[in-house]
Amino acid sequence: MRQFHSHKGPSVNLLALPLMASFVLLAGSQAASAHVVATGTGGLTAGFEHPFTGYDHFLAMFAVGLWGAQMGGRRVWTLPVAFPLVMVIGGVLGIAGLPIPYIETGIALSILVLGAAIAAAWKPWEWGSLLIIAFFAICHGYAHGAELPMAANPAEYAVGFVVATGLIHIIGIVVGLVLGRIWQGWLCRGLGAVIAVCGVYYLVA
Amino acid sequence: MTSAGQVFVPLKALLVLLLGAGGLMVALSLPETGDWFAQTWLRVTFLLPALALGFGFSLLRLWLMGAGLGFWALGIGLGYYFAGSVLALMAQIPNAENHHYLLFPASVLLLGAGLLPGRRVFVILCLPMSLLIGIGYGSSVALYDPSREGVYLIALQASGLGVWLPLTVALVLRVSGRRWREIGCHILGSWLVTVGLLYGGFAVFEPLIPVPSQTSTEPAPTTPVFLEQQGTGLVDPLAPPVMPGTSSSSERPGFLKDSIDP
Repeated sequence: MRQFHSHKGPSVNLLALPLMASFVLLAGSQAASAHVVATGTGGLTAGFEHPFTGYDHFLAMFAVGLWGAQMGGRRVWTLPVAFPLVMVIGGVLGIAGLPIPYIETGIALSILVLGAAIAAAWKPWEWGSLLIIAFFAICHGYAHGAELPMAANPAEYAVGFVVATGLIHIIGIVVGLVLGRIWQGWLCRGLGAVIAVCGVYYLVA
Repeated sequence: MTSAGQVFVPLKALLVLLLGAGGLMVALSLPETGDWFAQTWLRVTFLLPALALGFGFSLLRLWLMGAGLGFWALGIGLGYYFAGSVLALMAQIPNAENHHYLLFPASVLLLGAGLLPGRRVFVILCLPMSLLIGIGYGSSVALYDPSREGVYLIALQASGLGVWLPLTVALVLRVSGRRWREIGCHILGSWLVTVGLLYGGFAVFEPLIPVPSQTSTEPAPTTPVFLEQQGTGLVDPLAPPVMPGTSSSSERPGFLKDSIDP
């Protein structure tokens, strides 16, 4: 079966791209069709839109992917894997309605700290970076979880925001892998600085 | 490895993709069942387990993928025919009947737990996992199946979709690099575990949550009307489902009705 893992032949590569693209298009159209006719507000779309339309969420999750890509190695995927898993803890606390103070401050801090880490090209010990991610994931999970009970369809809402969160991580990884090769990573570090400035804005505002 | 062989693999994937897409178009265009198909079987709660299983299959050798698909299809059949027992078992979980017996969160949690550790673990677990998740899928099909008096077209459509999706995803993803698929396996596993824990946790602890909630109703109120008087052999989707092997309304479990009633 080795041949299925090998794709060095040009003929395979020529077919791979349209094949993958057509599948993605097909899958996307199914999901959109399913959601439009069957859910009202508070379903898949609302969950999916929440991380994308809340710029504070978007920046923090983008920074997670970017930081992981910048550090390289296993951390390219361990950070995006750890984030949603720990987010569950915050999500459950949010669902239960337990009052946790300074959640918004924690979210703003996450943007600032992650942006600063990228700007400084900081590469801490793997568990250190995971602990930082875990702390901020709880803040973001709480914000999402607090909205879950109000969703018209909690299952689809949960799927929507988890998938959106993961997609933003992947966007961050891709951007990080691409920018990391330009000007010896300085463009990536510059982007981190911009994210940190946004974090300061959210912290003050 | 010849270039002809290299071309054959994506061509096979393309063929399966196009055949399934054609079947999907036909199913959606059928006047009696098309709307039901679109509004029930194409919901994310049906699609996600099948798509994720396909992702896992893409990591396996071809013979193991075939075996996994066989176990998955077997599970769908078992789940469909023993839906009453499966639902009764799931009903023991608190508040499960208000959340479609938690078949969706249980499936994605199980699948996520198998994908999260990576390929080595999934290779070991793939067959029993395919069977169990297939049973969940088949039970979900039975739960929403309005078929009656031998009209099993809707259930067959759902089962066909359930077999086609993982096969297509697996074949299409095999075109990409294996290392990327393995990284994707970890990431997708974490998503599934998160969804399962969040929604499952919410559903179980919902009665204790002080916030007034709006529980979901599937199919949604906008679903088309399938009435018996139209002579299609189909029933109102909001009516209690008839489990396979039962005929009279008194034998129906009425699970779906319980979950829909306010």
